[in-house]
Amino acid sequence: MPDILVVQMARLGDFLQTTPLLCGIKEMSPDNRVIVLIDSANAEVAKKCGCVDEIISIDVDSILNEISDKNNAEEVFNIINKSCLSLSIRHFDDVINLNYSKIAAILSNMPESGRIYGYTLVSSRNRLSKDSWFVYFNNMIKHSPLSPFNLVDYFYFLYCKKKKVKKLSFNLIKSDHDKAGLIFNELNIGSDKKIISIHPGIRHEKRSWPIEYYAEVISKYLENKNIEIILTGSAEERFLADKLYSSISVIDEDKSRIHDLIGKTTISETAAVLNKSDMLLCGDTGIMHLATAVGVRILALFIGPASVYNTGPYSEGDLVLQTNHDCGPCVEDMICSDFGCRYTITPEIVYNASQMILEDSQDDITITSNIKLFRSKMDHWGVRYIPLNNPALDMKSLMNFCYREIGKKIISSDYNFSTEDNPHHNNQESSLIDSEFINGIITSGKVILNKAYIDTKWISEDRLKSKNSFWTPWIDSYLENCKYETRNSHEYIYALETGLKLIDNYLSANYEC
Amino acid sequence: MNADNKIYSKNLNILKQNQSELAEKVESCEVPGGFEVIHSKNGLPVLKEGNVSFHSIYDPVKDGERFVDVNLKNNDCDDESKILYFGIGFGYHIKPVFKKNILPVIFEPRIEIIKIAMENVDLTEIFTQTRIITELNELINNDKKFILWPHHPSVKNNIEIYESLKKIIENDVFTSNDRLALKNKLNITVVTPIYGGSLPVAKYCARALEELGHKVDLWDASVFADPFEKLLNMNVDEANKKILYDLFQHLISEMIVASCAAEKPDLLIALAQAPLSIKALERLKQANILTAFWFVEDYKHMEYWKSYAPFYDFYFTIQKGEFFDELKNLDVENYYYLPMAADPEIHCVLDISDNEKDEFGSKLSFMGAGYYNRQKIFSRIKNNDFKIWGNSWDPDSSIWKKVQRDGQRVTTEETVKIFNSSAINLNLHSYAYDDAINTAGDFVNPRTFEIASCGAFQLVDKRSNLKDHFVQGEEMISFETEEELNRLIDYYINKPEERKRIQDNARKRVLKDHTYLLRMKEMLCFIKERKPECFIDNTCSKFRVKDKNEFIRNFPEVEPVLNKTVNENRDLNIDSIADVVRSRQSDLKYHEALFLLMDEFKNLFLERSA
Repeated sequence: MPDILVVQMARLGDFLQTTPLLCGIKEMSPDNRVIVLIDSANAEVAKKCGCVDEIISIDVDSILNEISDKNNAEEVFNIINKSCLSLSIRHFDDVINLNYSKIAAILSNMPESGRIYGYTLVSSRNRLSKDSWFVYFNNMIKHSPLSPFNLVDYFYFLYCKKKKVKKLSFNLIKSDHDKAGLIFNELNIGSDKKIISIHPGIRHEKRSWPIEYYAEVISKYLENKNIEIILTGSAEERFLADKLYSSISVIDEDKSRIHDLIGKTTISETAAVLNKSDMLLCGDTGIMHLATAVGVRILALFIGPASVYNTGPYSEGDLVLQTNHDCGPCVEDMICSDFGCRYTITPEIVYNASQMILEDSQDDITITSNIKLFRSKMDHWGVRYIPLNNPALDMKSLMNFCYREIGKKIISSDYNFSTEDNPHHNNQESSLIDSEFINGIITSGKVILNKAYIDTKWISEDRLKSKNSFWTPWIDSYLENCKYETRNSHEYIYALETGLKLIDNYLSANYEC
Repeated sequence: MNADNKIYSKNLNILKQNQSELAEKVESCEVPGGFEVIHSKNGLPVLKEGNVSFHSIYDPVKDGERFVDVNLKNNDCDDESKILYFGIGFGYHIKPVFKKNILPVIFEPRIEIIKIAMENVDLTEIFTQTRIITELNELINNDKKFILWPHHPSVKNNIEIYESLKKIIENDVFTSNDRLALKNKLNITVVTPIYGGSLPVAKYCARALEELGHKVDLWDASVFADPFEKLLNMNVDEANKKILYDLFQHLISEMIVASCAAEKPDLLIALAQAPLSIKALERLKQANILTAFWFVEDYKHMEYWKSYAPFYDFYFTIQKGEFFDELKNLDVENYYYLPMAADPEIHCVLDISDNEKDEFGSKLSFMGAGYYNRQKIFSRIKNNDFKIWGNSWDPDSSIWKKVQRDGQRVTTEETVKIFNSSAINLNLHSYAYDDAINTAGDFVNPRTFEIASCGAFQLVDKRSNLKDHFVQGEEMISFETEEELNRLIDYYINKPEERKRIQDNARKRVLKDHTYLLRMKEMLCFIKERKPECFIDNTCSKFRVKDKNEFIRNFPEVEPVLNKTVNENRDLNIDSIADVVRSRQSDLKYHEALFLLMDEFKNLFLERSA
């Protein structure tokens, strides 16, 4: 029975986004055993994924605490050895490392294994190397919104090639549902009520929506006497409850319809509560993915570094309000002088977007030019985000489609271009793009293609030319892939050909030639 | 203070035997004013600085004994700890501790105090029984934890260093096999001005810092010189030009801040008119990046320092006195006098070819911009073999015929050739307000050091700070009036051997005392003294092998890696061991992976505790 180890040491959301890959591995062969290497903080979530056969967990925080006051190398060696010994004596047929971290890469190298997919150490052991699909992934995410695949799909296609509609996995069991029932009883929430769960906490300040805006939109929700609000969050986020309550301006009677569960529920209980909710309002957080996994409707706020294309909700029909400033999506570590984008999405816009979910309305809402509203849509390659309110196609959107074709070809060398996944099918019939411009893009793409056939040095000269700016992700991926002598760089060339076919097809279909 | 007396000589001999480097520092130290030696009621010498008396003016010996008793009662030491005195004074508070069989360490940051003490009291016992430390860095590699005994009169005028030392001891920086220390290798960003005479100085500083072993990122703002010039020459009104200038500076400042956010330097050094806005400096402060500015211009002439100085953590100047008062008034705390210098690699003795001598050589030369006083004074010099190089000379003046290359700018390389090729290099400090020599001038320009470093002869106008750097008559010849200048030209033009003697002495002096390497060292010492807590190197202590043999006994598989580390003369800490593992080409073994993991956990730990 092949043992496949999947290394996913990151956070809750990252693990949930890995679950389609885990289930995909099981589907490839029922004999496959899926073993996950995780941080022990995610043990509960890992147990709830129906596709995991075994969990190996390493408690990174605990190791750090234990070694913090130690300076003797031998003592520290021994502590880490105890944590890793069980991993080292194992054998795996394949190892899939999804974490761009040296710790994860080193751990991936510890057991005996066949091939290592994803990130591994280079022979000099001082850097990480990526396989060709991850080269593509890493270069695309630097260029969102050209990036055409969600993180879930990047993970999935690393090992699984089957095209299918995928779903995040978090199995609620009877006791979880019972517990949620008990909670609702205690909170006196009737089954006839509309429940909006709100998760105001987020990992990084730059991604956060102002707490006073949450307070304002809650006040607006409570004008409807049929609505109950549930606040979710971890114990560390308890202070947000105080801030919220001090900012909410409603009468006490209405305040009684706000139910504070911040820091009071486990992950499973939170998931079960979400499952009973009509909607979750949140930022780009792990809870959003948890909500997706249990099937609750989502309105997500993507601000600052958050990019819907990379980490949006992996589902059908959920909404994302994404800030659309020139400086975004930005880099988390970058010093930001004013955090202006945090205030772009107003409570009124959030309220109106919520009504689309709560009333199941297809009507568009009014938003400002520095916000985009997306609806998630699934297909056999993964998730896409259809922009609402502005259906006219621009060049970035067209290139997004192009890069999706490129990606499909990299995933599967058998893939042939098809018109199935093109702008027409995404309500983007009108176009902002000049046909001459498109021709120019095609021409420069073909020039690059020809040069790729000859020599990589010709392409690296092209990289910085402004006319090639839309091709930069491909150029960077191709050049990086070529650094590894054992890699097949032609797969990238064929992939580019496929992408060019899409644009060519779009040009022919939409413009008189 | 008379440094020739017998007590001093005796003390110096003993110090030379026990701490020769310190003895050298003491010998070359010039004691500033403000000190006085008075006598106590029982006739013993007592040091006084201003109003502060360092010991009891009644019975300093009894006072000293009381000091030791009180401190022993409050802070006893055991086998694991060592007494660290802050302040040597005249030693009355130190000697009684020897009777208790305690051998302390003494930290005295001011060399002048040591010198005055050596001139007045017998320090034999102290010099033979203890070690005197003058820099915080010297406190590393001690086996034991320090217990601080502050001598309060010494602390009074050294409060900042004392507070820093206290903080470091509280954080237990210097203990034991940890060998925590101040970082030896820093990450330093050097920001240059966009253009001007100080631009090469910034580059010399960067080179010097690299030579000192630091990792230097030279942020060369001169790449913006062309667009900046275009901006300055735009035909728009001044108000709009100011707006454009602010926008331009803002962009460059943001780039610098972004660069620092990525590189996370320990220190950012800016020079002259480096394009860093106040907002940028505030953001750097928020990001805990120390900033230092070397103001290499005349503070009376260039007044932008008033706006910017308070926003730098450290302010280095080429002038002192009144300038220091003005900085103090702006609440600038960490200012320091740091004169200009030369870079001997660039400013060197050259073998000049005949062609070069023809082109660049002359009996008299001057290299520099055509400031008002130079235009006037040089026009009155009678010597015909006089070449002038540089820009901004008036084409309508009588001096124009001596100006070479139509007043085009000259490169650094050509400047060095000019210095080397000329019999006499004139060095007249610029003065925009008069056509006379500025007799009130204080700072010494870079040219003085550069010509000297080239082993070339110069005549320089007298500056009040010049005597600090060169011995008049032996290493430098200066003039105060035009008459004197002309007389000296006439004298030295026909005295090649005399010129050679002086120019050789000048070069030796530059190499010994006036290089950018030395200036950068001094700058960093001052910065580290004032803010040592910013340079604590946590990494070298984390995860060291205490007992290699025991480690190998318990984990035999680690033997090859540990032995290789030792054989490469590397310290047995995790940085070195991980480096050795990375250099091996074979498949990664389990124990090697553990060492790599240790290194990564160490980095994660440091990241989280930062």
